[in-house]
Amino acid sequence: MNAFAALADDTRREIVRLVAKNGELTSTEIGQNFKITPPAISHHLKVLKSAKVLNMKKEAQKRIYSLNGSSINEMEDWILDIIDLWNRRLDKLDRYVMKIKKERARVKK
Amino acid sequence: MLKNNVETIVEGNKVIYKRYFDVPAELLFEVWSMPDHLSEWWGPDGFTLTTKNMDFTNGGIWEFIMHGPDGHDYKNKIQFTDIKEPRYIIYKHLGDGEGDHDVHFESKIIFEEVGEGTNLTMEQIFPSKEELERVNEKYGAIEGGKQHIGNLAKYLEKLK
Repeated sequence: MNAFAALADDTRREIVRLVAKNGELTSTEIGQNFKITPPAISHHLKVLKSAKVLNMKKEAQKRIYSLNGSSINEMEDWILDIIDLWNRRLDKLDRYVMKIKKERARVKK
Repeated sequence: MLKNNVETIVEGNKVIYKRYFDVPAELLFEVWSMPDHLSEWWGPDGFTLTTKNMDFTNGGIWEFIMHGPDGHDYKNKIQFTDIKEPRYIIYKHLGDGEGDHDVHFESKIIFEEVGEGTNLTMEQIFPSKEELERVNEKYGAIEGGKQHIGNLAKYLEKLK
């Protein structure tokens, strides 16, 4: 799940937010919203593209970015899996501590 | 919080789990802090767990492998960032340490004594707020079904 690692960065999260809001943006338009250098922006875009968070298409000299829907869905599924896993894990924890509690009560008697 | 109350809330970039356990906080803390205990409950059903090393102190690392029923091994690396016995445990999940599924989310587990038992609150903080907000929309419908299954499972446990 490279997408999460890619989104662990504040600037990259801002970029994704911006692209999500506008649908499509060129790298120049994205860069205008930040105070960092064009090479830095281009590095962030490269990371987001390789993590499949953003799609990129070329038109003439422009690079146009949009949100990668299937990757976003994958992240959603991943979080739902985590929630499901933890709920089942806590169920198991509950059964386990009750078992220990019983065992220890028996020892005391 | 009511007894046996189980709640899962998605809020911003956090997932919050709330549960009541009918045991003292010391016992809950104990089963979170020792490899022998963790191997009994941490793995999902059908999984076994091997702890490679565990240093249950501030900044300490817990490295373990979950062995899946399909023969797959899943490496995990967790760093304990703040521990206060028996009040809370805060840790970071450092993924599998191999870079492929590196997800750096943070978990806070808080134990609050209520009479004879303990309320456990666990907060998971994910890097991206937008994702969780989107999940939240889907989540209501899905969770309803899951809770139902969970309750049924618990009921069947009682009948055993």
